[in-house]
Amino acid sequence: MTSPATNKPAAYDFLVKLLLIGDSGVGKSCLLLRFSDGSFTPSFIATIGIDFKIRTIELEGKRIKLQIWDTAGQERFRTITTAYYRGAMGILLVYDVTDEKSFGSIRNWIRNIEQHASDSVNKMLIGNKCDMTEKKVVDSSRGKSLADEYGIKFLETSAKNSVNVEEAFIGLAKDIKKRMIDTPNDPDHTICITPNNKKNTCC
Amino acid sequence: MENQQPEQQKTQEEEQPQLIEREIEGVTVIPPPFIQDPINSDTNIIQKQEVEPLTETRDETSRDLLKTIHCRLCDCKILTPNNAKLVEKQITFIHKKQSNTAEQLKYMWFLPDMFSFENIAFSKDVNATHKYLTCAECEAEVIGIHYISSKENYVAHDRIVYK
Repeated sequence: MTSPATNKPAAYDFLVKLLLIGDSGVGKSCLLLRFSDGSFTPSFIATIGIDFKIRTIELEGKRIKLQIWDTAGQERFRTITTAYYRGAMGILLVYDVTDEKSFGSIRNWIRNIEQHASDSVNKMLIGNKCDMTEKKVVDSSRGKSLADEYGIKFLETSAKNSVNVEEAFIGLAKDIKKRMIDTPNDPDHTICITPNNKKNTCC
Repeated sequence: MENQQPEQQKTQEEEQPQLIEREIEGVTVIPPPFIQDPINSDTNIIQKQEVEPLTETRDETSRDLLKTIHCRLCDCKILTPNNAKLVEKQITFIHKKQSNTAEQLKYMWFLPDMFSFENIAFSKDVNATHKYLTCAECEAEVIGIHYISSKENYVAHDRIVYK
């Protein structure tokens, strides 16, 4: 005997495309991955590499689908083409708090974004690896100052210890939702993707 | 170089970033390397003897998923009820660790729309034809496949658990 389905289909209210940007080795791939145990054994998948992830979060009563792209491999040239930025609604700029050079690159990344991404794209500055306090060379106040200079939010994360990782994505998604949905003054930039079968539309 | 205006994003149409070699500000950007499928003629393929998923996991008529699908290793939620349909389709998946062995599995949960997943990770293109699916949290093993041209998604019953 089969029980009738009682759950509603997992429709979503908004689809949000996010990019992770930054130098090699700052831990962008790790930000996409929360370790389920203390030790991390690279699996077969690691040899191919992850293109993107789909994550579902609940935000202020709305179901948000996050599609998170990692640009691993491209940043060797400190430039990413327009195609990669196309459609990005939010960008997480990541540096390594133990690597002065990666912090210095953030200005270059912001310039690259200003050149190729949408003008209205939401940005957040992320100082990763904050668990390595002994090796830390970029002070929190410097990260905060740089973020303030560009008028964007700042967070320090530790992907390894799951410190602030969820907060970073949720915070950025919240800002995007506010810009695109809660503030309908700029209709050209409002993109709202809902399933066809959903009766109530959000826009 | 002419800076083109970005195209409007297509509704629900997954648009692949097409990285081509081009020069920007004197820097040449090389397209990502072609990734070959590790399953090839040298791979030892095992035809696994599978038991059909229990009747409680699906609707007998529509074959719709009735349970929630989780990663069998870290319990991450992958799919919620009514977002997939049980089908029989022979697909070969590599073993968990990098090795020369693969399993041919046949009971699959099928999703036409990738955004029906609750949480999932897509690998880079393999053989330029498909992407492998893995857990968004632990990335420990291949649990499914996404075909690039048809956009179809399959998750192997053998590699997940039900709650």
